[in-house]
Amino acid sequence: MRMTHGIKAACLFITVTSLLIYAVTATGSDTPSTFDPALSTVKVNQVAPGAYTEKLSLYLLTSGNTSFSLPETAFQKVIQQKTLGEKTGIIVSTGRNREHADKPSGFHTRDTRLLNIDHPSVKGLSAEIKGTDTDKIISVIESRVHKIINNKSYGIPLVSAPKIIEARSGDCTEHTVLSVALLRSLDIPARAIVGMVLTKRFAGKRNVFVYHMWAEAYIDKSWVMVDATRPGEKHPNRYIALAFHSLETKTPLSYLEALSAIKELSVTYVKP
Amino acid sequence: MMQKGLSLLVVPLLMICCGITMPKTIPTGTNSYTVRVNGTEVGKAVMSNTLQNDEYTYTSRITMGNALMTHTITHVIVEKTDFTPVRLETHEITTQDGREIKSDLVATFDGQTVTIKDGDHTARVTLKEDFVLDGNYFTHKLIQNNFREGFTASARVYDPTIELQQTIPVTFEVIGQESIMTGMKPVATIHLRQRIGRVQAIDTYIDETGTAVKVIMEMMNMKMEITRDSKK
Repeated sequence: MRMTHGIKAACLFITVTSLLIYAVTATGSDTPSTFDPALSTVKVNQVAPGAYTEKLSLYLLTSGNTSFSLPETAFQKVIQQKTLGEKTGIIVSTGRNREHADKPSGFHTRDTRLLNIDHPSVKGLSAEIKGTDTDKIISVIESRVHKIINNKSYGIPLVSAPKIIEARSGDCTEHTVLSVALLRSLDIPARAIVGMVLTKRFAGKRNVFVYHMWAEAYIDKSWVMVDATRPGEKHPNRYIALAFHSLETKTPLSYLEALSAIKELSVTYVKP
Repeated sequence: MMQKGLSLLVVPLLMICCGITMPKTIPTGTNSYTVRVNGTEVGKAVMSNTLQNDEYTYTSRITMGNALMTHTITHVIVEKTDFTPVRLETHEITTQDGREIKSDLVATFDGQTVTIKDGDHTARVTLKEDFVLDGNYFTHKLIQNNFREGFTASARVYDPTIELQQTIPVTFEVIGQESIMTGMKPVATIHLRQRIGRVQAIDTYIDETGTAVKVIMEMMNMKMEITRDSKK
């Protein structure tokens, strides 16, 4: 027998990629997952103490890929984008972006195989939260999800909301999936975002961006940030969104495309 | 004169390094791989391809983790010898503290209709375009064209781990013959470049039997490499 097989290693590669993406988005503690912590972090050049407290921040991001782009959200505005040779540089403003008028669509309310909002365990949980005042709903969901996932365990690949409720283990990806599932089951439009959060200390490193996942919910005609991994800690200027995640599959194509354009990423804090 | 002498020496050397017999048949068998990120080993993989009763069955299993947690993901693709899709399976197990989180997805095909069983949930999707699975179709097209430099094979592929409701465009381009180092040894390979939609290219190097020797991709400041283990 010829001891060979075909060229299909690339499929395997996508599997590795998906595992790694979720492993390196395992923020929430000083102790990341299975992999070298350095994989989860991006050094920030010239960061100033104000970056942690100011309402709006400016960053210059460069990637060695001409397809590199950043989404605009209610908390992020692209100020300038330039491509020079093989490199793309983007100046982005982070913090509340009042000009952003992106309205939710059916895409932000529908069920997906990862959310499974009709599952009895998801329905049961949302029934407990239903009736909460609008101004409190986000903090209630954040603290509820944070409490349910009582085993802060890192590097679990994306699993469905019912499995999260059952296993009660997870990192930022599980906190986000469960938050979006609860929001949508309460008929609140919601979306998941993969990006980075500025952290003072992570795995022995200081002032680094750490890959992270969080959600946004549309309440009272505007998008609000929902981060159940870090409940109550809201400094939108410390978050940089890299891509939306549809939660339809583990590695949707648009998400893979956006992340694959991140190459030799460097981040520089620009004085506002 | 000096220049001519040098080229006379270089040409045979290149032939020794890069001369490779093109694969002639879709390969079958089993191989083991090591997965590295930025040079550090993060997991192991096994890939196999069998031909039985006019069906190819391609299986890949990857295990990544440490003493605290292990992830194992198995993909199975079954297709007819004319590459008509039959079945696609994805099984995932995460083990931690003696507990297991399992997830199973099985897609079966009847023409353009796909029935997807995901745990206790079943869905049916009708795909608009003709499609293949990411099995042996591309190898077949490249063999048909004798791995001609610059040749590109394109097809719509159905992979429910990426998109559930639609097919995705995939291309394989033959870049050319290259000698690459695996361990301390040079290996003559054919360099192929795969593109999935607008995802950054994935570079695959295969040997004269059609086996992937090395696969490389860079993403999110990580260089990921899958390298074939040497046979014992």
